[in-house]
Amino acid sequence: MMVTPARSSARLRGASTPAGLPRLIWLHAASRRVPGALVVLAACAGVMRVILASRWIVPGGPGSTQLPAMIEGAVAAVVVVTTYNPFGESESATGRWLPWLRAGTALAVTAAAIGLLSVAVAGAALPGGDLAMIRNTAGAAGLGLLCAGVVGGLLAWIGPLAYTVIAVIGIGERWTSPWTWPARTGLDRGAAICAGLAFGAGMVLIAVRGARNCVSD
Amino acid sequence: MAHHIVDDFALFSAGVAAWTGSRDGRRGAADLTTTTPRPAWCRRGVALAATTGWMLAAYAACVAVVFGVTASQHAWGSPPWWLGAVGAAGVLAACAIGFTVGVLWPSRFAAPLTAAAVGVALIVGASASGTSIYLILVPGTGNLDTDIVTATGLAAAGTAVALAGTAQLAPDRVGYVIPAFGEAAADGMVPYTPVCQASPVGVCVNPAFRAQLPQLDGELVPFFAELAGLPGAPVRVREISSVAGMYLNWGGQISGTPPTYQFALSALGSLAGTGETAIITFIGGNSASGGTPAQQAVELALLRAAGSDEGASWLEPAAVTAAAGRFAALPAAARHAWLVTHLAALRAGHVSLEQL
Repeated sequence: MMVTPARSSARLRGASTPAGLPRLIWLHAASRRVPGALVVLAACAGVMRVILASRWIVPGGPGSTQLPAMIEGAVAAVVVVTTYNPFGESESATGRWLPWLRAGTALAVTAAAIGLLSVAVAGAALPGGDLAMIRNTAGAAGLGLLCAGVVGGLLAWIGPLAYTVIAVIGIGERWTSPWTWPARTGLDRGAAICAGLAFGAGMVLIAVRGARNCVSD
Repeated sequence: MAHHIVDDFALFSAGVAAWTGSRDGRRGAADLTTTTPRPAWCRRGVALAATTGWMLAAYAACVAVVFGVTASQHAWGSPPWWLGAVGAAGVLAACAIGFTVGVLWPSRFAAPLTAAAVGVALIVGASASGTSIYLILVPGTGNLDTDIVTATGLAAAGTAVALAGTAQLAPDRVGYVIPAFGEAAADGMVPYTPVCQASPVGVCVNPAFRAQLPQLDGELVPFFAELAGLPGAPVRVREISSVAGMYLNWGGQISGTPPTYQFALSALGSLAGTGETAIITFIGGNSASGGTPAQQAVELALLRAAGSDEGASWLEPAAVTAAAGRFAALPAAARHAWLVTHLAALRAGHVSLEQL
């Protein structure tokens, strides 16, 4: 369908009003493939459930903590690739809502990821408990958002997965630094602070600057 | 080396290959590239070869650094080239898997999910209680070129699976041996002369851990003090390979005459948990749960007496912790006397929580 200039400008004017806000949010989310991300996140949650219900892992061994940490890292990686936008720099000239949309989308997808994982682990013996899962997912997502500001949205998955690889080694080696928070217990205050700092910094960066636009993407 | 480097590189090799494989589709250029005079397998093969080449180059650089640093620190033995080749094969496989996923699913989610899936598979493979993992590849394009490549890949994969199926655990449990390759494929330890410290606990370790020997000895003292004088208690300590430790639930065991506590240090030399394992395996054997409830309670009491709280994380039943509290409240002499009398029954699992 052809969109005439008059209709297009009318839509833009509508987007700046509260009445047009839901449509603006939907278009922003669709441009970031948020619906697809939710499907993928649900699949990751399903994998988490299958792993917890299966007997693949020796209970009490490092694998019982490393495997959930890896899936939490994967979920965080999915969250951060939704920061990529297909419009490049031209999007920054579209209005004053953009920082709020970027932050809101990142926050909503992270919350959805944590919610889906919470449903998946309900009733299962997750090492460290739900608090550790929330902390690990949010912290890794924060690192990914920081990474998106540096290398762009499409390659931002490298950040949370690289961190997860380090954390998996830390779990096996029983590292105690709060910066390797997946290796700490769910109630560890230092680890929660470090993960919170990472998530907060990532949210601020993605709201203010957004993901870096790379021509090579 | 094989475990850490393969795990770390395979994950990112798969992700990067998936990112490269999905590039045409992601950019909406798949239709354009089909009009080029080169067949699809040729175009994609070049991209896969380039990706694999770069990942192998990075892998080779890391292996060279590891070998170089190791050679500068230790003078004995020769580099285990076979481990390097195994790691390279892992990188090749990860690149092939990632690239295939990227071509078939050109999405922004392909790269992170492929990398994570490989990471999950490696952790499951390293931690699973089973011994065999079979991967099934399902071709389905109906294209002759692709079928040839797929058939070649399946033949190679089938050969690899068949060879891997003949692998046997080495008699000294330090690795696997594939008979078809003879000794060249034995990923055993480089021969070494252990370094020992006679007191306060007699400990022998690989020379690579020489610097940690005094710290290790100090770590073990409070735990061995709790076991001293008990029949069958370990009187010596010997390090075993980390590969052999993988087959033990707690990374250690007590065996031999005189009783010797054999334990595995991690590749990075972390000493955490080495003392706790001595008590747990002495009382509860190689049981993943730490033994019967009574065995767990005694282990927890002895761990607490030795100044460790490691046991609290896996001993959850309230009855166990209550019994452990009762046992730990006894004077040390009374605790020791009870253990001397009941140790055989306790280790055989014939003691109940109420008897503590």
